[in-house]
Amino acid sequence: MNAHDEVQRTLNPTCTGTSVIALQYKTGVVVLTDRVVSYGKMARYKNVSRQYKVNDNVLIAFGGDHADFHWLQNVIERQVLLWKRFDQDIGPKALHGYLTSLLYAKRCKMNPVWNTLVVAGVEEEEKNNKETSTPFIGVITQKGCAYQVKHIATGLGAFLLNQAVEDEWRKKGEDLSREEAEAVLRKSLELTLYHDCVADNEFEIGRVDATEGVVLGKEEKIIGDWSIAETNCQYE
Amino acid sequence: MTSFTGITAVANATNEMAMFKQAMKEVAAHPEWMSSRQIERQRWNPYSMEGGSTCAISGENFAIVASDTRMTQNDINILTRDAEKIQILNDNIILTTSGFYGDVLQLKKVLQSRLHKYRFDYRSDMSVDLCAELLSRNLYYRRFFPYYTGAILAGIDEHGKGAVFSYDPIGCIERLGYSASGAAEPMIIPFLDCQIGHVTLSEGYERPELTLDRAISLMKDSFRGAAEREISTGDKIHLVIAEAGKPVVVKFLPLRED
Amino acid sequence: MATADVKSTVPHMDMDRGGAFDFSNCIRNQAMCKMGGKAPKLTSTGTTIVAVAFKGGLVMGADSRATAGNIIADKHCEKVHKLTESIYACGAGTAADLDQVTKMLSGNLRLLELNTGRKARVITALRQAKQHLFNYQGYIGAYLLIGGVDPTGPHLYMCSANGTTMAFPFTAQGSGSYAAITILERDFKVDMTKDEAEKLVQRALEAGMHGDNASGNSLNLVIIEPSETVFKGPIVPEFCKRPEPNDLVYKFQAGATKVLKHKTYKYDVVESMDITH
Repeated sequence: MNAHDEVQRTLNPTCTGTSVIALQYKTGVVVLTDRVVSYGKMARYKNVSRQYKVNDNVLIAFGGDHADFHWLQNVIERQVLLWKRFDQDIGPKALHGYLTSLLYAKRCKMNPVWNTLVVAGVEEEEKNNKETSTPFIGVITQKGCAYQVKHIATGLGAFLLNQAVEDEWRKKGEDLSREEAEAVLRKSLELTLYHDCVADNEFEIGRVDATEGVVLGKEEKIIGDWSIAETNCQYE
Repeated sequence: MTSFTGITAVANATNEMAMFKQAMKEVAAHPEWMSSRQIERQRWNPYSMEGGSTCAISGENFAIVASDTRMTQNDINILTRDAEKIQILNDNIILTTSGFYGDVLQLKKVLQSRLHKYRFDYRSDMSVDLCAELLSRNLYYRRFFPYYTGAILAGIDEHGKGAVFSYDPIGCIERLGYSASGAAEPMIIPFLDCQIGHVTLSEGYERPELTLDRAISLMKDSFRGAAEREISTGDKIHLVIAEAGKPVVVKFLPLRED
Repeated sequence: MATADVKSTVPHMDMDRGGAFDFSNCIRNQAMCKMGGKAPKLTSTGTTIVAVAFKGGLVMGADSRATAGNIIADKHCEKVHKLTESIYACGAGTAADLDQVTKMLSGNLRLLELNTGRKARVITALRQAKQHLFNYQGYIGAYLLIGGVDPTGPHLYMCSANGTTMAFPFTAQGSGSYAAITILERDFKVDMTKDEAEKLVQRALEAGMHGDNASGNSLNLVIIEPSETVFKGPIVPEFCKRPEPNDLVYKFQAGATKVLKHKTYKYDVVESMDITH
């Protein structure tokens, strides 16, 4: 590898997004991302979504480098069109598999896609039969490590939230309603906000439902509870 | 002659001392804590380690394979408690892999597609011996950018006997009675050496036969033991049992979660 | 090769700190590394430690797992150290450093109490710790939560290895602190009751022990109030228990182990002693 390659490869991300939090509920998946683009620790751009609607059944959210995801978005779009030519809609499982191979191949060339992807969707067992579709969350790291989960937090959220979200999910399991799932996500974002300095309080919750398909969320805002600051201003 | 070697020894020692003095001088002039290495960004590492352990035991007419299902980030943070490290490639071949999970997945995909093509070409399933050689070559193919995995291939061979093949990351292959790989390998191997290999047992003492039931019990106990003392092993035992002439059985058993 | 020769080529470095640590081998060790030697590695404990203040008192707690690499070295390690009757410290970081620092603190505080005839204050413990740690620029790997109750009320401080200190109403430290602090942020309220605080600390510790590989086994709590200090533990959460016992019994008959080598030593009896009673 020579100095020239350093410029062409994302060995250090530039404009980044932080955690993605996703949770499976009874008939679908909810995904939360905040809406800030960080340049190092600076909140460089605001009101930028980190969720991408692939088709009616699949939604992709990402953490990591924005530029790399824009490249990826183009690749995904072409893949979707390729499937369309055979009159097929790509499902979340297939897309998850495709992206795993893609990210793994890129890392083998020592030119990683600097993203953690969360592929959320509903997998249709039979075409156009909503009864048989099941929720799906798949995660892929930049090195091509892929796994399926019922609940996930990536980025700093993997450290901060994974356990809390898991405990919350275990209480109800598959029977979690959409409202409950969204409440868990909102609380989760509030909790990253206290400890992740590049997380933002403006966010959106997208969802993929068996009957409604992909519904992108509206911009929301939370303030959180900062009253603790008043007890925290003494010397030593 | 002796005096001559004596002289070279002295010369070598002085030479080494001189080199050491040179090193001392260099280090004193540029101590490590002042070097730019401290602030230099680390080169991107294409590997990561997801922890976990796998193990396989073969017997007269069976082979059993087990792994835990935990997946870890940065050695300590648990990502998921349901990661699968065992792949059932066909009725006679089971692959279990630990190490870098990206490579684990890729290895699975490569073998699956090769087996698929074999079925297409020869209209029969590949035997475990053939697959073992295939895997070895696939691993060695990446000699200078290795799959960072400890693979174990187990199954029932053409004679109906259990087989376990163990590999290093670059394709060194060995057919064994039992094998383990991953984080708890140094704990499981000695246990199986004692209980199956009977390496410490003196003559004239009872050597219990390795039945399927005994093998399953030993397998479970080795993972229970590993979960007690190894931090990245836990959550669940994923147990796969292949017996000659019977379908493959898959079981999940609980382990401690801390 | 005269020693004078060496002295003239290698600049003399005065690193002696009187009766404290000896740094004189630093340069030599680095030269040895340069020649291809390998430096020994320190063991550090992955940990979850948590502390929460409630109305009039303090609850502190720790898990009980000590690790050496990926091996659990101790399942019942005591990470809550007593400094005085009503001041405790929970430690994360290098095990040996923690033992020595807390030992030094408890000794110094006891002397202070005897000299002044009063109870030591938490701030004193903190000052001693931070000045000691700052002196060593972070090379003493002790990350402490120091907390207790003194005549000025309940106090909780965090002290990191480089000497940074902060005051908190609640905090967590160690490798499991991320999972634990989330629970604290979610459920902490100002002026909780003792019972609420105790439950909160336990929940936070359990999250740390569950989600972090390097924490687990059991948890210990200490509840400090002006009137009394209560120690609770070890408490073993459900997920830390073995879900199933072993299938087989591993017992070895006497003589079952292979004898590899015999060697007989001859000795003379010079002196003997009766030790039967």
